[in-house]
Amino acid sequence: MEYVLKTKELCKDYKNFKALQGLTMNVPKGSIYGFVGKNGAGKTTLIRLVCGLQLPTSGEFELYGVKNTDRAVSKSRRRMGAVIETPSIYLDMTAEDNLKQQYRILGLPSFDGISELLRLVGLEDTGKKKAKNFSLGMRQRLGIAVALCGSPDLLVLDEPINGLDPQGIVEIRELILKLNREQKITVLISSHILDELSRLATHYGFIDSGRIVREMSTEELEAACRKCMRITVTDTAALARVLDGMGLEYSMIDDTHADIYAKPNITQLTLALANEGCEVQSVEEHDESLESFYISLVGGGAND
Amino acid sequence: MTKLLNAEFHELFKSKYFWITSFVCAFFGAFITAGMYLYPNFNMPENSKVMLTKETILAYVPSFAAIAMPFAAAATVALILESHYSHGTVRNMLTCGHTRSEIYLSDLITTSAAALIYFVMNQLPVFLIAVFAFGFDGYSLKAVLASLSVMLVMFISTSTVVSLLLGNSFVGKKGTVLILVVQYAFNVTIVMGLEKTNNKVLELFTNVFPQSSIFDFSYIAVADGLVKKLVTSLGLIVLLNMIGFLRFRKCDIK
Repeated sequence: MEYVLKTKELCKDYKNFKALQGLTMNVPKGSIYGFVGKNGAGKTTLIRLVCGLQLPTSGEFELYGVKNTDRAVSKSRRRMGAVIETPSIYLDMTAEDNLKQQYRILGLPSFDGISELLRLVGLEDTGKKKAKNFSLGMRQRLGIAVALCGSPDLLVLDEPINGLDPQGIVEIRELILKLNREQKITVLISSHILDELSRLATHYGFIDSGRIVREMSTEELEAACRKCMRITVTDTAALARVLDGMGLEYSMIDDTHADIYAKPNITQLTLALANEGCEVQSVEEHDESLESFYISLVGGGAND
Repeated sequence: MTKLLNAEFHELFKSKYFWITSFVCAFFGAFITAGMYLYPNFNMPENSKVMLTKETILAYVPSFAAIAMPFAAAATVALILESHYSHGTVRNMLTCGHTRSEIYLSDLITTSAAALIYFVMNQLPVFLIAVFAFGFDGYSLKAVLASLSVMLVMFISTSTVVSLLLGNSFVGKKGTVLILVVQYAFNVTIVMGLEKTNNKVLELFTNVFPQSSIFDFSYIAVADGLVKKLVTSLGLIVLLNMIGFLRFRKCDIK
């Protein structure tokens, strides 16, 4: 597998606080790598190191095969775009002027592609409105558009949905998926909103206290998270008799709900329950959440 | 590097603070020149040994008119750096592959250019009014220009380089502006104290600190020790830039 970013035993100390303690991770090319951890786990620190905003205390990383100690790492960074914590935009400029300024910083010969970028992030109609008058979601999308200037292969997003309303979250999610699927951009995205990450990520890195606890793909995570069918019935006693008779593993949630850890024939199950005088109200697929898996990995300690 | 300079100059010329300060500098120069010409001895300190006449005014006015320039330039540097840090645009520069050396140098060049523009905006009306409007030839123009050139170097040294160093260290305009105000007041105190007491320590400070030298120049016209002050200022530019550059290369950027 080809990796765009590899870190090895990366450490970063702030005086007496160890933000990263030998972090090793690998971001596969073409993936959406969800970087999961609680506040203070070291997510932003790692992203800052990769972007060159801070220098590691020890350890190393490779960006597109170039080590961070190599002078050529600056050239590798030209292949990435990043939004770190807050969007890096000029508040006194319009969306278009912000992109033009980023084009100048990148030294691009013309402003071609700016209107496409604005359309991509849904800011094509902002006209002369300055960024300081944008909503949080619009600023976040403008930040992503700025990061996308120069057609990067790697997009690094640090907590991109923090503070966004539900509509904004959906828009950012769809944008990230679109970039990954249509433009094959590798995305490294950090978040502590696990449910949101689970809708996006193809790979996960779970971080705790400055270390990667586990790295896995979505398939591996799905296998690790136990899938089940959640059934809602009028009589759980009847349901228990039928499931025992069919030899299926299950657990009762309450008086009307139960989880079945198998994929039963729904018709047979419904008919058997009907014969017991029990009505099936709903059946839905249910799996152990990423959240509970994460808690099981890192424990439920205080969120520091 | 040229890409960064292009972007930074564009940002500078789009800044309303830059244009407001430029016009204030021009107005200040015109106002001081006209005022000093019309009221030559108004408010001149008794012990200043300065006797303004319409024939000698050109020796004093250009430097006197530049007295507030260092602060204007320093505030611009603080604002530009603050914008880079608070808006996070310095992160964009680093993330898209510019080295810290390039960023530091482009900041230095841009802000020095801003200081130069302020200086020219200030001095242009001074000379236009003094030479053309009032029609006197006054002091040796060559001597005045030599003096002003040294002042410009001192001015860049004290306003741009110091505030660039402070701005990168404090990452924000508040701390930087506070320190600049304090050192501005300190330098005024040195010159005022020197005028009153002829203290050797204060004299040493006046020679060492470029900003004190600017005040000194503005008081005593085409001052003695031009070369010495020029070398001191150039030395400070190199020294402070080395400190600032080394610090910027290693510092964590928020």
